[in-house]
Amino acid sequence: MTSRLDLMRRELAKRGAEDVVLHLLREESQQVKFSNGEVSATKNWDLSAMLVFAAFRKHIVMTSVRNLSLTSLKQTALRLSQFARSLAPNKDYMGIAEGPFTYKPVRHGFDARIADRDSAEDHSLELVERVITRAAGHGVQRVAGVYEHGVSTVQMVTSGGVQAAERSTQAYLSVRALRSKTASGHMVSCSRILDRLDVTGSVDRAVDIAKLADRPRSSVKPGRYPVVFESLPFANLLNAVASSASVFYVESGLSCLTGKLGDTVASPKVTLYDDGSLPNGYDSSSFDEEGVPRRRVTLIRKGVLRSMLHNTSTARRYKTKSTGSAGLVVPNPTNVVLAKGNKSLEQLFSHVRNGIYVTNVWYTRFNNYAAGDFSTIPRDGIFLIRDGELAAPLKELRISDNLLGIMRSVSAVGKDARQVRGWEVETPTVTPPAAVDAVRFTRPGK
Amino acid sequence: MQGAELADYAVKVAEEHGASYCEARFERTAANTFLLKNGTPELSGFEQRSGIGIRLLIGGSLGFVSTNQFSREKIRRMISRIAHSLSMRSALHEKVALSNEKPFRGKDVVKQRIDMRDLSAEEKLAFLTEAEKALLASGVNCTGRFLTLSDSISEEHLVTSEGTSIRSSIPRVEFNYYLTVSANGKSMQRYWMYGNSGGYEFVKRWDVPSLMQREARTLHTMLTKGKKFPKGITSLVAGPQVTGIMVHESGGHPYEADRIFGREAAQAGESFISPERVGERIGSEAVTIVDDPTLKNSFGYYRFDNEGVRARRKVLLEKGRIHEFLHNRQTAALMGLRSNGSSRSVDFDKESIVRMSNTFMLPGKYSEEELIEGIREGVLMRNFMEWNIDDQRMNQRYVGAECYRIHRGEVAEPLLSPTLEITTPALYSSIDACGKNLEMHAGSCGKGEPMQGISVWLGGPSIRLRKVRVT
Repeated sequence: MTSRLDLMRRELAKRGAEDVVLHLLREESQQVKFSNGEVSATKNWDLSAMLVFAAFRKHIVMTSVRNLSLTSLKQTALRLSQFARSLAPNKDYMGIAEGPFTYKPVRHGFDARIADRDSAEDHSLELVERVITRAAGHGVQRVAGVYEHGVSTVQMVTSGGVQAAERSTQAYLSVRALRSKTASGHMVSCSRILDRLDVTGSVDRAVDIAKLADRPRSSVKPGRYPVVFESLPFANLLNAVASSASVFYVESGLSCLTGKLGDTVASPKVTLYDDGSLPNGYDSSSFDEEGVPRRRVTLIRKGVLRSMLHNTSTARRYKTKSTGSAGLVVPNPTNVVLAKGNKSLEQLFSHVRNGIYVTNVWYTRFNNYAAGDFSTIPRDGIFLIRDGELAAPLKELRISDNLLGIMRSVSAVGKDARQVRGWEVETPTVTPPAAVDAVRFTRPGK
Repeated sequence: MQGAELADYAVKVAEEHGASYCEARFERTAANTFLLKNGTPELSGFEQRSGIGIRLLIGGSLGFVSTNQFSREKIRRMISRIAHSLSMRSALHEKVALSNEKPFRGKDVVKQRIDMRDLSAEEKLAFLTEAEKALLASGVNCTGRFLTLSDSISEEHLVTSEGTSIRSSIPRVEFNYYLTVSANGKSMQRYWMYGNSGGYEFVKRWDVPSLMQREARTLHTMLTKGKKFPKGITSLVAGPQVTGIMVHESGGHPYEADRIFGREAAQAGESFISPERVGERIGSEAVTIVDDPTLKNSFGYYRFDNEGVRARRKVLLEKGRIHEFLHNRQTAALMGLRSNGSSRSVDFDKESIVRMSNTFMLPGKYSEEELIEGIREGVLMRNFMEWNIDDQRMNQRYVGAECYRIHRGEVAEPLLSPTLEITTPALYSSIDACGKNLEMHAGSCGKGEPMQGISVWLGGPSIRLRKVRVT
């Protein structure tokens, strides 16, 4: 297959492309979807594609090719060159990385048991059966979620002298336990290797939250309350912060971190990284989309914004260095990591006299990305914290606040971090629970 | 369509492996995207993707496989593997039954009067450049200008083991914008999109340069002159864009039968509605909500769904009473009904699930002016920026963008971000009159895991809400 990449690179160079980045991808994966305590569908995929980025004197074009025959590749190169010629130049474009680079493999990034597809597929039903049986054993018959696992291979060449290849595995479990329509708990686990996939812990936590929520619900008046966020909802907020560090979103007017480099944007308790090289990091890889080695980037250190996310082109424009965060068009975070604190979940509760414990959120929507104004809806169990103890489950609340306001109000960070991703957490995130001094809640009118 | 014969082959192989039902969908999509960010052409690209998705029932267990490697050996091996998985631990699998449906053989082709394929990349990018020029000429400090134009043609060959054979070709065009307007150290943002099935004739009809100027100037007015609305119980007139999103979120999603039966519980959630609530009143007589994929040139158009069932209009809420759910063959069978053709997927590699198409509130008989005339003090919310709703589709919020105070039956001064936060029955019960100004707007509706953002219209007329709490 490397010959296909070489052929495409030569064809594009022949037609005048100065910068070329090519990826050849293959992914074999499976998802077992379950609901109501049964497997509702089993889905298998085997997909491949070549992703092509080319710059013809600042005329930028991208495509993906699914038909990898020689004829198709030659036709695509021709069409790309014609397409590029009819476009206006991107004057902001400053080129791709000059390699070659040396790469370190991602620690715990590959598991032969997942790569052996026949065996992994046989194992998946056994795992889902364990999930369903364990939840039922704890009194929750209605359990829903997915178990996904897959192996992917990427081969890459660029006109900047990069030649790289990597094989990765991933496994992801999402479990939602439902005692009733209004009493549920959700937990996820994701890992590159099976040994670190927290199956029983995820089921037990989802079940515990659902059972705690299955009591008469109370309500609180709209207003500001101290909050303890579980890892899952805090990851949702940290995703929004980390994405705002992308220079692309800054330039688009869609970042609340615009112009704040060097400023205090969070409480001193907050140290936030993006770590594309994180051992067992769900999206870790040795190299970014233009071949620059991925690494840990400190976005926020003790509350102060230290770095934005760059690819080579944006870095040259801002006279800095790539952070290994390409996206050829949009630099992006890879694995968001919040530095651990030293408190257990119970210790986080213990400082709260009258507050709220949020175990999940969904439908986060911004009214103004630049200002950071947004709202999001607590989903699954949400509880009153009274004098340091969990009290009644609550209903019908919405967080309506400002992202940086919440970050500045972080009062403590837990010590037990969890790697999560999922429906509302697009970028894998490793975070402990966190306590926030004052979060604004609203409620619907009847 | 080259490769389409693989769908027929897949059905044959599935039957050899004991499938009681199989549908195979070969799909080829050609798409183009152009992105202009603050006047800079950041990204232009095209994509040609094709592949096959095969959905099958073996021993009552549901499987799905997908590949873009077009060899018979690959398809046979994948079906063999899924058959093996479906036969393992059979007690664990839900036993799926499908409603009985008549097989169809037919075609569904949407024509483009001005074919997007006849336009050069330069011409398409020029469309965005015109929008950019209009924004720069608006006289407003528009600090963020994020504009995209996309077009696609999806061709499908769908065959089932029951004899259905349908070929379709549906082109779609779409324009999105994200604008940031700044003044006096503050900013305001708006996102919206336009979409149709069809060709460039619709892109021209959107009159984007005028639209951009109006949007930027309105944002500026709201930002610089908008007053905070004093909290309280009041009347509110929602414009068609607001009605559209309300209907989509709380008048469409809760009627998706797969949610109602818990199949999406860990993803998009469930619904406050249950089957025994059909016929129950949750809104006023003025409110009827329908979902209709058959609207010509609509963004959510299709004539046959992905199970080959003929599409039709569904009445979800009829004069305030829960009437009908959105079904595929699986959920229809659970209720002893026939499918109403609501099974869709965004791509060959995604499982078809229950989806909306074009969901809207039927218009009434009043002009918007008449709705406003009937209000002594209130709020006119023409459009919105932020919104969300809980996963039972009960507790929802809409934060207005272009809004005005209504004073003695007339539109008065601009209001800054009045917010309606309300439950679904309270919302639909508060509507006492609907306008006749029906509008349809495009949206991308998210559901499923992996996420499937699907093309829909959401719409309705201006509506009048009485005694609602606005903050």
